[in-house]
Amino acid sequence: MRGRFAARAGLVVAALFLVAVTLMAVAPGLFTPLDPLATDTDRVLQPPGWGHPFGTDQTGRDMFARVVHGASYSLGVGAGATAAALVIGVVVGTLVGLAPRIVDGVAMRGVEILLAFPEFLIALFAIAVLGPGPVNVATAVGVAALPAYIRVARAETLVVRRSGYVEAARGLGVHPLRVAVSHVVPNTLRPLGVIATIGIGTTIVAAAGLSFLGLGPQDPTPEWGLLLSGGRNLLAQAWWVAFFPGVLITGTVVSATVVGRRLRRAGEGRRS
Amino acid sequence: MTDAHVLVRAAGLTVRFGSTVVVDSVSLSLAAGECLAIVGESGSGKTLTARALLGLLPDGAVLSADELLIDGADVRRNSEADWRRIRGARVGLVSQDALVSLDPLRRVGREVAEVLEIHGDPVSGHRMPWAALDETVTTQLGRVAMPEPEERARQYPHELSGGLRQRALIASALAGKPGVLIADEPTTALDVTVQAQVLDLLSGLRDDGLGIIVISHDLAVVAGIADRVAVMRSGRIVEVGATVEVLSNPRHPYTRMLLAAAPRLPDASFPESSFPEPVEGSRPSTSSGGDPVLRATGLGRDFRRPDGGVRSAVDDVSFDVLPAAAIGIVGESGSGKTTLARLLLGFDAPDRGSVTLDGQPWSGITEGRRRSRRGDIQYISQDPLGSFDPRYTVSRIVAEGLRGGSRLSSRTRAARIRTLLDSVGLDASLAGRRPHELSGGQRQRVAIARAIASEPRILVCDEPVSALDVSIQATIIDLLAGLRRDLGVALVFVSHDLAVVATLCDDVLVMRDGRVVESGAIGEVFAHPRHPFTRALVDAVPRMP
Repeated sequence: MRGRFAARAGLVVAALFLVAVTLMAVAPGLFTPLDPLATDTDRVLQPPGWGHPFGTDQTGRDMFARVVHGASYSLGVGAGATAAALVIGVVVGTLVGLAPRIVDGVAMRGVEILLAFPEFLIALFAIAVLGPGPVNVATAVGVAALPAYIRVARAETLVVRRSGYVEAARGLGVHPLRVAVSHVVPNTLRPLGVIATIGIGTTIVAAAGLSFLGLGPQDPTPEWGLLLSGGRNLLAQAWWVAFFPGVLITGTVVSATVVGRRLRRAGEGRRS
Repeated sequence: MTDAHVLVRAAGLTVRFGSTVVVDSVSLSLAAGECLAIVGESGSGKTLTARALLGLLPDGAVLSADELLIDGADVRRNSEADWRRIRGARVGLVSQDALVSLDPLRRVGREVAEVLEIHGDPVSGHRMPWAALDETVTTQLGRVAMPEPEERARQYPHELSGGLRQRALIASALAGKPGVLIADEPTTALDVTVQAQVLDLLSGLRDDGLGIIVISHDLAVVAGIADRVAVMRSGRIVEVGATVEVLSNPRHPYTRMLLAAAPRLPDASFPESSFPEPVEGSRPSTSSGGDPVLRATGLGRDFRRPDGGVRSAVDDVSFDVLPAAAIGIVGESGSGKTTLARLLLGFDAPDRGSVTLDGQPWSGITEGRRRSRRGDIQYISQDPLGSFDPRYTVSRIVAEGLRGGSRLSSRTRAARIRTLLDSVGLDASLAGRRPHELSGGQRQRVAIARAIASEPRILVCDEPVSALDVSIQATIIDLLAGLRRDLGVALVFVSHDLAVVATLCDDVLVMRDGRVVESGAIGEVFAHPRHPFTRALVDAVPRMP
């Protein structure tokens, strides 16, 4: 009973955290009136305290404002890349799942080769080809996540394709394209949506990682990975510059995973 | 009932889930050498009653009883450990699906040996020495008439046929030498000829002094073996008495309804009088009466076996279906009935022969050319729930069957759906429900409504009533007969149940190993079977006295 209570409390905390981060991304003004780009040479490297809850950096910018405004970049890249990967993954996965076996075989071997590389490595390759920049980071991260979505969409399609209701629709003379759109895709979406929720966390980490390496947005943009990178050299004097962006990244990823797993459990219960 | 040796006596047996009473003050008793049948439809509480006698109620169930004696001992306050000493040693259990009940990774002999190790030698009750184990296992398997018991003991469950698996399960249930055997739907998963053998076996064991409680949804199955019958409904025993008495002179209306609903094979001695009159307006399907709706010529379909050989699931099958005719296809599992149905529907392509629909080729053409004609031939499956998209509502499911459904105005479409639901006896208020919110009978009605939405010329039904309770079964059969009469739709009715086919069809094809061994008018084939297999099939059908 106690374990269940702890799990529930954890779920509530995670959900609240995600809501808060989403609000930061949509309406940062709700959290802080300060400008994340405004420097103040009188207040350089202030420790957390009254007026500057997260302290200030080496040019006196308010870290709280920078972290809050950074949410839109990090979350935008994470959600955007995941959504793009999901949509393309569903389309490709469904087509491959419905295609003749030979097409399926060739396509899936290709996907498996991509899956053999770590996602981050693929993202780095993509950046190497596309060049650095915020949009390219999102593209790179999305491309890296794509093979997993294709694979799951195809597997779900194969299950639904053999189901009684797809055969029934065929028996009613429904056109295959219509069967795919009205029966196959909607029934594969539920498990994919769950995976995407967990995937947002992974994409945020990957995007922050690329920014950390200097391949994403450039200073003074308040992006979490970039903030973390900027604070790295100051760890000894001013821990707070790197600490708070790190907490936000970790918190978002853990929360997305916790909520995603909970959704998956609920989905499994309903499907059986 | 003899006063000899009462093995089980229960009074006021009640099982509750929370505040819901699922078994309501049931009283029963069982003596040695007696067979008591508990009969009822799904949800009647028959299985829970039997499980209560083994202390095997599911979590959350609460048992109370005024009296519950097993071998004279009060078991009401038994701990789990006490129950373990009773299970297998005093009361044995045989469940419906032997393939699930036997451990797939264990040889059949181990299954029996385990019981011997736990409960000791069946004769002396002493611990079994290792050396004697094999021999005793063989003896036990021999007792349930397992052919070549030594060899079978070394085989795995999947290597045995359904009937042999059921025998192995009975052998392991009896290995602890229990006085009572509880058999929960012991033959429901079996072919009719195998069912007859298992019933014979149980009947022989009863004659040797075993007390048997057999649970079944089928009155005819228990008629031949039970001494007494208890009919259950909604958790209560509504009628109990000697089998002959209950079946020939039922007092409770529910028993009467069950008896009336059970489809029967016509009596062979009076073939003329006992056959249902051909449905009015239908034309005999073998003689002249217009061009056939569907014609199968020399159909064959081969499948590759795991060892590389080829098995013909369907071989050289030819027949015609005339407009508004009803043809039954009967056979045991693996006889090729379903493969044949799939070939007729164009879900699968034949390796040999051809199918024509309304005189036009139906097999050997592309799916694209078939699609526009699909509305002429429709399919009703055994599992309606699986044939519905779980996200769809009833009205959307039925709408999918309408020809050119997307071109109709939403008003016309709604009206058509209402008419269709009405014609299958469903209330229009169900239109917004999703499939999982419907009962089994309602689901099959929705499937039928969808199938007739395109005004087909022929319906192919694959075991459409096998998963339904007897009373529901009867209403669905009536519905299909009515549609045939009113809409002039022809039926191809695939079933393992000869009695169901006899109620609905004019003609029958008997299939065995992919071939048609006998065909003709129902009355002729069932009353005077020429092929030995047909004879065996007809003889094996359980009959009411």
